[in-house]
Amino acid sequence: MNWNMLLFVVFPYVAIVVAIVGTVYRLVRRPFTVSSLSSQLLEGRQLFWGSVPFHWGLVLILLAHFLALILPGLFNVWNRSPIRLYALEITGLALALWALFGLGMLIYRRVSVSKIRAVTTPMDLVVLGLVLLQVITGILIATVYRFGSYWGTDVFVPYVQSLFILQPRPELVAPLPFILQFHASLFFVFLVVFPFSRLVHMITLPLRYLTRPFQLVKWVRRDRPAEPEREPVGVGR
Amino acid sequence: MRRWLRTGFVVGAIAMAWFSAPASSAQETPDGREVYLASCAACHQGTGVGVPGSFPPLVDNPNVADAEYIRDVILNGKSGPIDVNGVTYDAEMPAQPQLSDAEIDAVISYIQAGVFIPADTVPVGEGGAAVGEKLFLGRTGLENGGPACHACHSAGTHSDLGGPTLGPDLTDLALRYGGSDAVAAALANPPSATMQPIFADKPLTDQERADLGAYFGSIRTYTDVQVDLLWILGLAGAAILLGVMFVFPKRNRINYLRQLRSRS
Repeated sequence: MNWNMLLFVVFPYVAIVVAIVGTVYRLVRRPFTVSSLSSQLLEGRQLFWGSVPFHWGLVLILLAHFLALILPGLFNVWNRSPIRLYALEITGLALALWALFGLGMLIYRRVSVSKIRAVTTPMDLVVLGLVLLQVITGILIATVYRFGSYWGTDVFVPYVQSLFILQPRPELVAPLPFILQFHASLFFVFLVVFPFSRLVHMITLPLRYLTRPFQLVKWVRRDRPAEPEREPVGVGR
Repeated sequence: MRRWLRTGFVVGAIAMAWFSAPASSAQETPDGREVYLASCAACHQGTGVGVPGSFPPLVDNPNVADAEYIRDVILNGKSGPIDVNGVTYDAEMPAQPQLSDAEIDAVISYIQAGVFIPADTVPVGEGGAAVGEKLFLGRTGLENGGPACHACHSAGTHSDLGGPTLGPDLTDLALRYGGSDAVAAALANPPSATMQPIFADKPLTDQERADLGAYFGSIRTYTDVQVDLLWILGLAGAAILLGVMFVFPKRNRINYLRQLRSRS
């Protein structure tokens, strides 16, 4: 048993089991905790500049990772033309940098706004730290070891597929640079953390929101403290 | 407080596991065959027969009996013409500073044992540089499904946007190996540890090796990248995405509740 076996064969399977068992347990036994516990009511302005780039950037990049996993041939055909390869890589890097900006905003907001700090759990900070590490290593890989969208389909995709068919091939990952191994094994850390953190909100899709009527949320107290940019109330409509 | 301590403990344990990893993996006994395939076979061939005119054979080579000679060549490299069994070979061998003492010992034993991979490589025929260039880029897929060279390597003028940089630049590959034929022969046993597991069940065909060899032999110019366009365009893209966010009306950004209240 060497470290490569431990990190890329044993750990992935342990992580997958923990993620599935933990998530099912939480969904069944603690269904109302399956949420990211929005703090939008506590602070909304910084949240917009943090949450929108963070979520759109990362969701699109995650979808691209997932698509490469299930349809590697599509990426190979696309990348046959250097121009298309470059367009894909530039788009990916732009989304990652945009997401990094949003993530920085979210971290700043979480530590600087006292109301948000009050509702912050240690696990929230762990998640932010892990995402920060993963985004930074992703950007480093995209720029130092170009072009991941092309070689990834022949280095990482066969490795991940080998895990799924229970015939792991850790030798595919062993000779890769440290930062690539780090990025890959950090994904399995995410799986372990998944059921015990706000990350579980990823598997919830608010589809009912599309059809349900608007909700009007009213404060219990009589009025809110005056704010400079507050719009006039009751202008005759 | 206990929650913080508990989280800190878990984070600390994972971090320690990570940072102790490289130190312990170095203690394993290296396998001479693996070292040979990773560091020597690209030129001397998995079969140990070398490449005529360029790389000397290691089978039936009298110099191989001297372990210290082999060690010296591995550590310091070798250049200039060399005679083995009456045949002259003239290609530069770079020093292999990445090998540890244990790995060098293991590979010397492997070479001296003389039990190489059985010869089953067919002589390589004529290749076409234009066809090879398409194979390099991936415009023509490799017959056995292997990845295109351009996924990891830049070469010649194909280094726009900083070029692929997972593997080294291959512009002067033919020069280093001693010609197109040497490159074509070396491709039968891919030279790096990263390539070996990928190409193990997706080998290049003889014609593909010949075509790629011809392409690498035909490279005369290469683009020297001055400005890192990937970073510039990536940052520009991120700035555009941020700019798009300004399109949202300000009141939609902040507080939908406030709008509803002002309407009611």
